[in-house]
Amino acid sequence: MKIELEREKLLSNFEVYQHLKQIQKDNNWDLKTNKDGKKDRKVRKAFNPDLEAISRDIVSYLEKSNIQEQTEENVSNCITDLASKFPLEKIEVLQVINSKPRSFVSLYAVVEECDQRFSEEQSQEILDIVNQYFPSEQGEEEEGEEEEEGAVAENEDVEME
Amino acid sequence: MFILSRLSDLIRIPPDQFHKEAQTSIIYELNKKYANKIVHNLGLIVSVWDLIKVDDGLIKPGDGSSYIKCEVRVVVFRPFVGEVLTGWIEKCSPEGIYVKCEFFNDIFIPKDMLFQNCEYNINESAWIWKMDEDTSLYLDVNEKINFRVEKEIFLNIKPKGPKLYDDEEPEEETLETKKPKYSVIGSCQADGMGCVSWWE
Repeated sequence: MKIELEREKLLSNFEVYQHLKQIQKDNNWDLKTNKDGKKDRKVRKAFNPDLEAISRDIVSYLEKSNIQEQTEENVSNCITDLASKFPLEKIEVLQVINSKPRSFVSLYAVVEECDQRFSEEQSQEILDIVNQYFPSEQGEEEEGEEEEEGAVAENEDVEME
Repeated sequence: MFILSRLSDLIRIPPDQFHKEAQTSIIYELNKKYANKIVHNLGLIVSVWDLIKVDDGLIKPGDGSSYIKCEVRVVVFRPFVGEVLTGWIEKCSPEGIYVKCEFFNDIFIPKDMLFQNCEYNINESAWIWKMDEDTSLYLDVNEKINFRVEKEIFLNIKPKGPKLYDDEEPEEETLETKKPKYSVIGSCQADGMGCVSWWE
């Protein structure tokens, strides 16, 4: 094996997600074994435990950041919008797409020296663009909080015992 | 987080793959060889992305397989220094915090790369950030955490050679082999880092 080019291109999480989903689909790994599981198992192709494990893990990791809402269309539109309006570096656009910042703090973490390069209005505009293409998952956030509360309550129970 | 890398390799296609399309069996063999493997100074290879160039297959005497030289692009997990990633706290120890990312678990945040005024609490085995006098924030196990990539460490683990002396102590070797071949050192010092829930 020889490494010809270490870093040919950067990939966004979305592209990797799509690629792995395609692999899973081609090999029928995404089929859930249910009642008619016998039928499914017959169709499963290309036994490769390593590839199956890593694609399963990465897909589930990426789905936790709500990557399903991204489509080719809204990702590319968002990139053109961001790149045409702001002098952002390629890597910064990529990170904005990957992490979808919703607040100033998370935007500042991704974009270097954001407070000096952009005014508050401009930063707000970036956030608005992100929000426009990937509307925030308000409902799910609330659900998450509830879960956390539930977890805390459980912990307390344990301590009481 | 992910990059495309270009590799070239000589791949062996065994005869039982000959009924398939050449491309499919080449990709299959390449995935078998590379998927979920760490390559020194490259990163964790996820899967084959596409084939760039495939030469004619060659047959060697005494072997029915065909050997094909090909150039291929692979998806590699290799976060760049300065990138912000999200993970979950796996373990807290007095030395720092271990973070896991489902598919990649060798991420470590040493104690001097945590926020200032961070203290380790032995009783609760958690790190506590004393933001000011009244507020102390907990970095607990299984919390979702943001961190910045500071350093990547590759360790070249060579295959074990034959024992030269009988009195070689095996203890050192076990420690060596335990170390991950590729690990990421992170930091938690800027705004927006640390538990995701703090900043929402």
